Amino acid sequence: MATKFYLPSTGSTDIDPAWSASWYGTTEMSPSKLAAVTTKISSADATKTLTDADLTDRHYCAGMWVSARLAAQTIAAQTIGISIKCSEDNAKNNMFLHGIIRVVQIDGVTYRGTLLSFFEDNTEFPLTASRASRYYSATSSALVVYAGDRIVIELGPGGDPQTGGGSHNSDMIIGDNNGSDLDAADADTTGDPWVNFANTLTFYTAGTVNFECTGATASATPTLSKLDRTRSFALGGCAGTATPTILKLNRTRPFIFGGCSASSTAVISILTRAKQFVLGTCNATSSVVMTKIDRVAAIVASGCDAVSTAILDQLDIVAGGLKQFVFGGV
Amino acid sequence: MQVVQNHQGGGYARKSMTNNKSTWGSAASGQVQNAAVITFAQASGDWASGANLGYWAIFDNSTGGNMIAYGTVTTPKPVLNGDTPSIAISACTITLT
Repeated sequence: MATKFYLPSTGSTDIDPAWSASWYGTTEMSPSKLAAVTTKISSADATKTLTDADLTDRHYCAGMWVSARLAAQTIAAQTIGISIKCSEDNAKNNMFLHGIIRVVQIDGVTYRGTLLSFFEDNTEFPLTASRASRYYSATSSALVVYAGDRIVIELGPGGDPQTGGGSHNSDMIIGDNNGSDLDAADADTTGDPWVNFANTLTFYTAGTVNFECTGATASATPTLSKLDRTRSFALGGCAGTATPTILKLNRTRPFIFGGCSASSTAVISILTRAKQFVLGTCNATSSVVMTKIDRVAAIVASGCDAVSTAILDQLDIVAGGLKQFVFGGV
Repeated sequence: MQVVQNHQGGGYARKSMTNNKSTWGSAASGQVQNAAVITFAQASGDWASGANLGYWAIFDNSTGGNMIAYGTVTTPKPVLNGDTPSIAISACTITLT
């Protein structure tokens, strides 16, 4: 099963891929960036005309057609055929069908790769009075494409006119309202132009996108409060924790708060009747605030290098009798 | 749960989930998995400009808030206009640290 794109004369695409740099000119024929369709939209025939008096080998873009979004797939190497009506106004013009077919990424700007490199057909255009199809086919390159990519087709005339009457004067007919397709051959005079991929292309269809996720919990802001008569409590390994907060630990036997390097603010408050309180290894913690620590038998704060602000407030040594207070290494 | 890139537009919004055993099951071997399908709102445009989405996170608020857990998706893929992102039951595994 093949995929055939028609080349309408109307219907813009919603992205703006760059023209191929292989063209000599991309303005002379006023080319448009249009949607390539797999179902005809009955756009009227339009003649894309090139007029100049130049006698050098040049090629000009007549139009760009961009497909709908593709599904992720490998586009295999395959035969791509192109049939479009063309003509020149003088046999000395030496004009031939040119083109390039590429794939642009979902951003509409970055090209994924090239399916058909810039090519030149080898059958000269017929004269205007006998305008007819020119058919070109070649084997494409394989390409892995991703969801949302699109095919970009650019076609146009080009040639090296002879002196004594030659020029690039030529035209191509686009549109898709003729009721039939041009033959896959030269010299057909009736039908719509097309680009055919020998294989079936799969287009993106919106649906359910299933994800599988793995990860771990993040200790953004652990808050501990109202732990009553805990026999042993240790908070550690909270490096990078934003704001560890420990409140109202009542009668905890030993309380150890350590390994919280680079915590932005450590708040320890209302520790009542703890047997021993150890604050340690909180390097680079910006602020350590300890308040209302009542009747704690021993406080040891050490290993707190580079702590910017250490505040110890309302340590009640009267009621419970603080037996030992060591705050060092700050 | 939301995309870490904090994508805006395209109909993106964090998906609210109640934290109970009906939605997250019971922890085992230090891990917990979703016990209910997590389905985001249908995209009305491409998320993250159509880039592959490779990361996820859980926050404790519909905007801003604290990051509770985060990680990677096994197979990064895009969410394009019209798609409905979904995480099947047990497809989200969080290691409790």
